[in-house]
Amino acid sequence: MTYFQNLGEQASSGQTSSSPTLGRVENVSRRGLFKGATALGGLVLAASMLPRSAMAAYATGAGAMPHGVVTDPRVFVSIAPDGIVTIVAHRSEMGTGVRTSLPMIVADEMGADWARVRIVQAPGDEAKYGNQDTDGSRSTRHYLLPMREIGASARTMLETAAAQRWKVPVSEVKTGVHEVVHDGSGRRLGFGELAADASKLTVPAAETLRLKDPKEFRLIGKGAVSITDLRDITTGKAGYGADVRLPGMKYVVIARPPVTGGKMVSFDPAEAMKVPGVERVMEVRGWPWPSKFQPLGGVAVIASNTGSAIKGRNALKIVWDDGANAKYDSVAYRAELETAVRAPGLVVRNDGDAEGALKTADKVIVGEYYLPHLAHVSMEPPVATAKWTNGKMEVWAPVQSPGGTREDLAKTLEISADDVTVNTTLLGGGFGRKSKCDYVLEAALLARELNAPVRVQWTREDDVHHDYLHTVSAERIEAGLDKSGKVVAWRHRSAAPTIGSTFVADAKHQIPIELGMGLIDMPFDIANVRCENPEAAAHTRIGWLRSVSNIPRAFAVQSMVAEIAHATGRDPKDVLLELIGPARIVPFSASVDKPWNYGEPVESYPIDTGRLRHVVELVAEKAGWGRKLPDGHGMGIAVHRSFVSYIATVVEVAIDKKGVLTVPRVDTAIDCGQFVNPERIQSQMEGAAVMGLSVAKMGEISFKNGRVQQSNYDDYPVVRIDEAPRVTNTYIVPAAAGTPPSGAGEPGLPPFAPALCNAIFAATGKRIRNLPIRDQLAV
Amino acid sequence: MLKPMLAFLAVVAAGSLPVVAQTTTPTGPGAASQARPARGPEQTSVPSTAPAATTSQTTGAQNQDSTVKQMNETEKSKIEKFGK
Repeated sequence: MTYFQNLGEQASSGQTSSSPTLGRVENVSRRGLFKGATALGGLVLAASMLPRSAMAAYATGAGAMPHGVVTDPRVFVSIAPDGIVTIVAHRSEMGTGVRTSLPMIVADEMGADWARVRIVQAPGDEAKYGNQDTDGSRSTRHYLLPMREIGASARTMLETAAAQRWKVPVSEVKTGVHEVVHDGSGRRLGFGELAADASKLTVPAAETLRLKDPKEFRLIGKGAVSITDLRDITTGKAGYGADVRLPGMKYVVIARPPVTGGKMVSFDPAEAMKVPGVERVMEVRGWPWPSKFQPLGGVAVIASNTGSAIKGRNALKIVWDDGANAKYDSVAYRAELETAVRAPGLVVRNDGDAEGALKTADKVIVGEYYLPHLAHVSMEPPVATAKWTNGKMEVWAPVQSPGGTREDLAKTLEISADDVTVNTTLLGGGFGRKSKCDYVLEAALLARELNAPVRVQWTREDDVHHDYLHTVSAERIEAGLDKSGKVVAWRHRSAAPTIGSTFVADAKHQIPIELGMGLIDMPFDIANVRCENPEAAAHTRIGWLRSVSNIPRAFAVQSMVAEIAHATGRDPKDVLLELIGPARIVPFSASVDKPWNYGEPVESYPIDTGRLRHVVELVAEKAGWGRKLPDGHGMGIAVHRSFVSYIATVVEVAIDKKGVLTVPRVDTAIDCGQFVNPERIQSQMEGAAVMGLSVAKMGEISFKNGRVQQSNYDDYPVVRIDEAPRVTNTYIVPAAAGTPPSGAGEPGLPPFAPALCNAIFAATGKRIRNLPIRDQLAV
Repeated sequence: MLKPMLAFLAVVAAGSLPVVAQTTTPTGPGAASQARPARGPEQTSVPSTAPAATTSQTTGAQNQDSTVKQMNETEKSKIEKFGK
C-alpha cells in the first residue's frame, strides 16, 4: 500500500471530494510576480530554506498552455511504507531527459534520496497532470518552479507529520536525506514511516512554501544523475513503441497515397492474400488534406507478423488519384521560391527606411540561401498499438503529446475522452514528428474495425514518404553598408510554405510563430530593417522539426554576417559583435503585427543582447578563435537566440585536397538560464552538432511528380560515427540570480549549419549558400 | 579458460582471422544499399480531375467533415498562440 497519493477524498478547507484527480490547477504566471531576490530581514527560517515569497520568481507561459499546470503533490508523489518514493513523469521521454529531470527536481526539493526514487510514466490525462505536450523546448522552463513547489509541498507535509508525532514545533524539525530530523533530540523518522500520517494533512498553500536555497541543491544543476532508463536503454531492455505485445495482436502496414492530397481509386489484393501470414487486406479511411493529424488513408494489410504484412503490401496492386499536387517538383518549386524572394512580399517588419537606405548605401551585399525540405527520420519510425474493449480504446505509443492524442482519439472515434487511455512508451527520438498522432489514429480505427488488438508499424520508407516535413525555404538578405563598412540597412525576404497549411487550406503566408523564429526578432543594432514574407503554397504536409524556422533563418542571417565580414576585410566575430551592438534589451519592433516570443512573456524572456554577446565571446575564447590552424582547416562562428535561449557555436573544419569535409572540433556556448541537468544539456548540444552536420551535409527531401524521392537512410543519409565531429565541447553559462530557465532541446541546432559553412569559407574561400553541401566541395 | 585460449591460438595460427580494413562509407545520396531491396506495392496513377496546384493555390479540402474542421481550427489557434 502506498500513501500520499490519491487523497481527493480527504477534507480540505471543509470540503470533500471523491475524485482522486482533484488538484490545484494554478496559473503560475498569475501567482504574483516577485521581482528579484530580497533580503529576509529579521525573518528566521529553518536552515537553508527560503520563503517562497523571497525566491526570485518569474512568469512563464506555462499557466496559459492547455490545461495549465498542476502542483498538487498527491498527483505526482507517492511514498511506500518501505520509503520508496515514486514520482510521476508527465512529459514524454525522447532523449532530452525530462523523464528524469522533472522528477529529479521534485526529489531534490523534497529531500529524497535519488537511489530510493522510482519514476512512473503518466498516461495522457492533462486534466489531472497539467499540460503534457513535450514540444517547444518548454518542459524545464515551464516546470522547474512547479516541480520545486511539488517537492516543497511534500517535504512540508512530511515535516509537519514528524513534528506532530514528536509533539514539537515544526520549526524544530528539518528534512535531511530521505528522513526528517528533530534538531533538539536527534530523533529521526524516515519518509516511509511518516507517509501515512503526512497523507492525512492538507496540502500547504503555495504562498507558505519554503524552497531550498539553490546552494543546497544536491541534484539540480549538478549533472551527477544519469537518465533513469540508461541501463535499460543500453542493455536493450527498455520498452519502446514496437516492443508492446498484446495477446491476439494483429500486425498492420498501410499503403498510403504517395502524393499529398491523393486518394485511392482501386486496389487488387489477390497476390497479397497469397503471402503466408497475411490475413486480410482492406481500405482504410483517409481525410482530405488539410486535416490536422488525421490519417492519410490507403490500403491496410493485416497479418500475423510485420514481415508478412510488409511482403503482402509489396504484392498489392493499387491505382491512385494523385490529386492536385501530382506535379510537385522540387527543382521547379525552388525556382518559384527564388523568384518570390526577388520581388516585394508581405511586409512583416519595417523599421526606419530600409528601402531608402539600401538605395543610398555605399555597398549592398546580397545573399540568397536555399534550404530544402527535411525529414525527421528519428531512429524509431512511428508505431502504435491499440485495443478496443467494450467501447473503450486503449493505446500504447511513442507520442510527444499524450493529452492531445487522447483528445484527437476521442474526437475521431466519437467517444468520450474518459473512455480513452493513452499509454506513453519511451520514444526513440521525436524531433517533432511524434507530436502528430496520425499513426495512433490509424491503429485505433483499425482496432475498432477488426475488434482485435492492432499494431500499425510504419517502415522507414513510410516514415520518409509520409512525414510532416520541415518546410523548404528561400531566404534573401540584402545588407546595405556605408563607406565605413557599417551596416545601415537590412532587408530579409523569407519564402516558405507554412505549417499553417496543415490546418488551413490555401495558407500561403507564414504564421506568427514562423515569423518569430529568426526573422522579425532579428536583434541586430541596425536602424533600417525590413522583413518580408512572400507567398508560398504548400504541396505536402508541413510540420515542425527541431527548432523549426530557426534553421533557415539562422543559416541565412549568420552566413550573411560572415559575407559582410569578408566584403569589408574584417574578422567575422568582430562583425558579429558589432551587429549585435551593446548589451541591451531589444523590444519587438512596433511595426510587427503579432510579435511572438515562444509563448513567453517578454518581461521574463526579453531579447537580451548582453546574453547574446556573452555566448559569442565565451565560445570564441574557449574555441581559441583566431588561433593558427593547419592547412585546409578553417573556423566559423554563428550565434542564434531561439526558444528563449542563447547559443553560439564555433565549428572547425578540415577539408582535404579532394574536398572531403571532416569536423575535428565543435565548441558551443549555451545560456539557458537556470538549468537542471547539465549532463543532458551537454548531450543535447552534442546531438545538435551531429544533427546539424547531417542536415547541412546531406539533408534533402526532394519531390518529383508529387512523390518524395527518398526512402531510407541510404538516400536520406545521416551522419555516421566516422563522420561525426571528433570533439564537441559544451559551455553552459551559469545563470545569474533570478534568470528563468529556458529551452535546451532545440536551440543547439540553428547556429550549427552557418558556423559550419562559415568555417568552410574560411578554409576554402567557397561560400555555401544552398544546402545540402553534398558534393559542392568536390574537386 | 585454457580451452578457449587454445582455440583462439589455433585460429590465429591458421591465419583465418579476417584483417579489418578501414573503409569510408559513401555518404552521398544515391549510394545503393546492398542489403535492402527497395520494393513497394505496384502503383499506378490516374489523371486527377482536380486543377493542378500552382504557386497561388493549394489543394483545399472543400468537403472536410465538421469535426476535423474544428480540430484544424483549434490546433491552428493553439499553435499561433503557444507555438508547436
